[in-house]
Amino acid sequence: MTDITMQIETPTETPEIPVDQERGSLTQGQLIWRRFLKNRLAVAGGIVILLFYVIMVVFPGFFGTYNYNTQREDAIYAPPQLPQWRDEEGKFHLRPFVYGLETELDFASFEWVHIVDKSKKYPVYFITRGEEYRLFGLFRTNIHLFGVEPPGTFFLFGTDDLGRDLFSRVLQGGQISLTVGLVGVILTIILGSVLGTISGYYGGVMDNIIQRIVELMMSFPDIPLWAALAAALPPEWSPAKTFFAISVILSLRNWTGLARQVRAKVLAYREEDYAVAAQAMGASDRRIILIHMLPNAASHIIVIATLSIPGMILAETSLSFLGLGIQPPIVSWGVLLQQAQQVSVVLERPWLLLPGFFVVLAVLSFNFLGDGIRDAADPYSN
Amino acid sequence: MTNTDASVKDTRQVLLDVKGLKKYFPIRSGFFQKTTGYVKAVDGVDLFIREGETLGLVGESGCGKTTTGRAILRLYELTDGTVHFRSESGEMIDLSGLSKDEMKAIRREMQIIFQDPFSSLNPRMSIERLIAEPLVVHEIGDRASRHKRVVELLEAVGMSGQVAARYPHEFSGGQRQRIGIARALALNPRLIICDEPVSALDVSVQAQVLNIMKDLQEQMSLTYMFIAHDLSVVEHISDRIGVMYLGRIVELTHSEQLYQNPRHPYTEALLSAIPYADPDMVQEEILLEGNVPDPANAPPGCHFHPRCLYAKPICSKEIPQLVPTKDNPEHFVACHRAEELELIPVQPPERLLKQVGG
Repeated sequence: MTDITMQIETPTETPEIPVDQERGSLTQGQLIWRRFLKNRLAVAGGIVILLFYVIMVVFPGFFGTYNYNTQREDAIYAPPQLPQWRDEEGKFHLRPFVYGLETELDFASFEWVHIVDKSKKYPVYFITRGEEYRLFGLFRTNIHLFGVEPPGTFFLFGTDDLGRDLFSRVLQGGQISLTVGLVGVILTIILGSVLGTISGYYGGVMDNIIQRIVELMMSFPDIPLWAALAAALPPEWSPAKTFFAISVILSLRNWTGLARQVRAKVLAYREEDYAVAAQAMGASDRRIILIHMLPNAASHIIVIATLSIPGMILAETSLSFLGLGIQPPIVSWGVLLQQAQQVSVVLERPWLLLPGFFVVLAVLSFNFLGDGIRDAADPYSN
Repeated sequence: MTNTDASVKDTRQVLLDVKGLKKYFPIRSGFFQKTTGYVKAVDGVDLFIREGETLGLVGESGCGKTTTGRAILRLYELTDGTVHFRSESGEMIDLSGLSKDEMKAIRREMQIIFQDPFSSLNPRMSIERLIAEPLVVHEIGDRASRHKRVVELLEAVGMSGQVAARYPHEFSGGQRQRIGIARALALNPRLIICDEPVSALDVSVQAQVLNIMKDLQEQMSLTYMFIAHDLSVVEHISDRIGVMYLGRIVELTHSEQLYQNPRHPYTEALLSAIPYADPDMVQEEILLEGNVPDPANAPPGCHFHPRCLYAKPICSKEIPQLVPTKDNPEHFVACHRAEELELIPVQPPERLLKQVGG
C-alpha cells in the first residue's frame, strides 16, 4: 500500500480543531477512569465491594475471630460484645477491651441468659493466634486479625443457636454469597451475549427459535423453577459441586433478559452505516460482531452484569433462606438468615438479622458501582 | 472532466455495467412469516459507468437510489440482473455470481461513502483504527505502514494527521464525512459509490466536501457513482446523470444534455423545481400531483403515468424501455412519447455552489 504516492494539494486549509492539551494526551481508558472517580457514590460502592471481596472472599478466616463452625454450649444466643475504650470508672484505655460474659440458667423460663461481668476485662489483641482455619482452603494457620485471650470471648455480632460466632459466619457466608453472584453473572454474560448476538445478527429461523425459548424461560415463575431445579440436585454432591450447580441454575433464568437486550442492540447496530461499511470493505461476520457490535454493546452488558450480580445474591439468599440453596454446614448469607425466620428473633435476638444488613449493603454497592461504570464508559456523556 | 459534446463518442472503457438489476424485499406477515408481497425497491435498472467518470443518480426519496448503490456492491443479494465490473486485468466479472470470498477480493476495488456521517463511523473506534480498518481486513501492511497511510489519507482529505488518535464524536459533520472519504480511499479503490455524501451537510460544507471529492477523483483517477436527491449538487460533480423514478431509470444522459434537452416528463418536473438565487427570475414550476406510489403496489405500465401531464392510454399499459433517442445514442429515455414531446429545458444558471466553494 505504501507505493501509492499521493501528492495532493490540501484543498482547504487544515481545519483548526481546538486542542485541549491536557485532554488530548489521555487515552480512552484514562478518561473513563477519570469520569468514574467523579461519581462519589459509585466510588464508595466500589470501595465497599472491594473490601467485601478481600475480607470475605479471599481472607474470611483471617478477619473472622473464630472458626465459623465452632460450637459453644455455654454461649448460645450470646448478644454482641462491643469493644470498649472507657471502663466504668471513666478511665480511657488505649487498647480496647471486652467485658466478660457470664452465662446463667434462668429457672423461670429455662433459658440461658447472658450477663455482662464488668469485673472481668479482656484486652483485644491484634494479629493474634486463635482457632485454626485453612487459608485459601489449603494452608493450616491460626492467625486472626484480632481476638481476646481465653477464657474471654469476643463475639462482635453475638452468637447463634449453637453458640457459633456470628461475625465469623457472616464473613464466611459472604464468601459463598458473593461468589455465587460472580460465577452466575459470568455464565449469564456468556449465554446472554452469545445467544442474543446470534439471534439479532442472523435473524430468521434461529432468531425465532431463540426468542421462543426466551419467552418460555421468562414465563416460568422464578422461585418455583429454582426450587424445582435445586431440589433435583443429588444430596450426595460435594458442597463445591452444589455451589456451582446453584450458580448455573440462577443464570439459566437470568440470561434471557440480557439476550433480549443484546439482540435489540445488535439489530440496531446492524442497520448502522458503520456495520454496512465494514461489510462493504469485506469484513467477516465474526469481525463485524466482535469489533463493531459487541464493543458498542459492552457498556450495556457491563451495566446489566453489575446490576444482575445483586439479583443473583438476592436469589441465592432467597433460595438458601427457604432451605433450597446452599445446605449447612456450608454457610451463606441466606443460610444465616434462615434463623431469622422466627418472630422471636426479631424481638429478642435482633443481632441474627445482621447478615441481612450485609446483603443490603452488597446489593446497594453493586447498584451504585454499576451506575457509575455505565456513566463513565459512555463516550457521549461529556 | 465534463465531456459535454454529445456528438463525440466517449471512448473510455466501461468500468461497471449493470443490466436488469432487480432487488425485491419480501413483505412478511403472520406468525410463520409468510411472504405476502414484495417491495420492488429496484425494478430493472440498466446503467453503465465509464472509467474515470462520475455518474449522478437522482430521484425522490424512496425511489431506490440507495438500494441500487448497495445492490451493486452486493451488500444485498440481488433478486435478478447482472453487475459486470472490469477487474484490473481488464476482464468483465459478473459480481452477481461471486462467492463471499471471491467478492472480498473485488471489494478492494469498490467502496462506499455514506449519507449520514454520524452513523457511518463506529463511535468506539479512533480515527486511526477507522481509516486503517480496510487495510486490517485485507491484511495489508504492518502497524507502522498503516499509520503512515492513515496520515497520508487524512492529509488528502484536508485534515491533519494529528487527529488520528481522536474519536468521531469530537468532529463536526463535515469533518466526519471527510474521515469517511479517507476510509473509502484506504484500499485505493477504482469505483466509489457515493450515497448522498453531502445531503446531511450545511451548504457551505457541501461545497467543500464536493471539491475535495473532485480533486481526489482527478488525482487518483477514481470513478464515482454519485447518488443524490438534489439536482444542483449532482450537476456540480457529474459527467452523466441518471434520473430514477420508483425503482427504474427513466432518463440517462450527459449532464448538460439533461438540463438543456430533457426528454422525460419527470425530468422536466424535477428541473423546474431547482431553486435559483435570483429574486427577479420568474420560473414556471411544474407541480406534480400526488405522491410517489407505493413500491409494493406500483402502477402498471409506466410507473410515472398517474402523475404525468402528458400521459396517454398506452402509458398505463406498456412498460416503456430505456432506449437511446434517435438523434443521440448517448441519451437514454424510458418514455413512450419521448420523441414527440417538446419539454421545457433549463438554462443552467451561474452555479451557486462553485461560487461558494471556490
